Amino acid sequence: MSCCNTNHAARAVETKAPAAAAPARREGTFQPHVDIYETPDDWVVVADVPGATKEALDLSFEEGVLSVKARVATRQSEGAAHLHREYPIGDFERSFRVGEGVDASRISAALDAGVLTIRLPKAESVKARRIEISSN
Amino acid sequence: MLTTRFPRSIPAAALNRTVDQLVNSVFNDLPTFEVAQRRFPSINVWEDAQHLYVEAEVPGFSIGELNITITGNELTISGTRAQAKPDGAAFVRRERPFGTFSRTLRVSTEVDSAKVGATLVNGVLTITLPKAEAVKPRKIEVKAN
Repeated sequence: MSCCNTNHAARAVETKAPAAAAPARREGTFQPHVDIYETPDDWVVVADVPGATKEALDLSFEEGVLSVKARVATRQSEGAAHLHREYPIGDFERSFRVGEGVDASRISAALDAGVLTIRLPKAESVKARRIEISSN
Repeated sequence: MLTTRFPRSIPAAALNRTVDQLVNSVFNDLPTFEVAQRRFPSINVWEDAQHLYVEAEVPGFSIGELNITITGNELTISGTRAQAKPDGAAFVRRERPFGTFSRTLRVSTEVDSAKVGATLVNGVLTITLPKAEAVKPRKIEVKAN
């Protein structure tokens, strides 16, 4: 899988976990797949957390680390016989180191249909600014 | 865009071999799958006495964006997943699958295809396939002489 520029944006929001192509899914906790993109005003982290509800989400920001945790309840009824399994069902957990360029006080998040979108607004100091040229 | 081929048959170990062959269900995955980066969606299948359940993780979809069809004994889930980013934004990291996908499962247990139902909750699709009367387990009364 190809990804990840090495520009300043990549360093501003960067995952602490190794960037493996296949996310670790073991022992009931695994990493959600994420997209991260940059707009003029913010960085946006989009994470697939199927099965998670808003109540089961735990987002925190502490010492420059954004942590996402989602508890996912088991869905198969007891006594059901598995015929085919491609994924285990378990909690999601992933952390991101967030650079200085983020205004942490304005981080916001929304959950829709199992997709978590976290907006990390850029601090004013790192926003691109248009410089007006005045004519004489 | 990569094309991923999925194994045609599931490992024998995944089947409960203690159950009689008639009750057993084998899902064969046809190699009709195409999606960027990795197989999508991932699918789990389980059963109880009355139903087969096919569950797929499809975060971001509404039910109207998924095509679910059953033709004979083949169940197909297809759709298109757009990239998340708006125009003008630049990806820093991209792991979520996107593109057009289609997965077909062959159901070897007889099901009542007229009564197949689907729900989509928090990005999890669950398709419920009622077993046909002929393959449901039946209690056999033993009469005493």
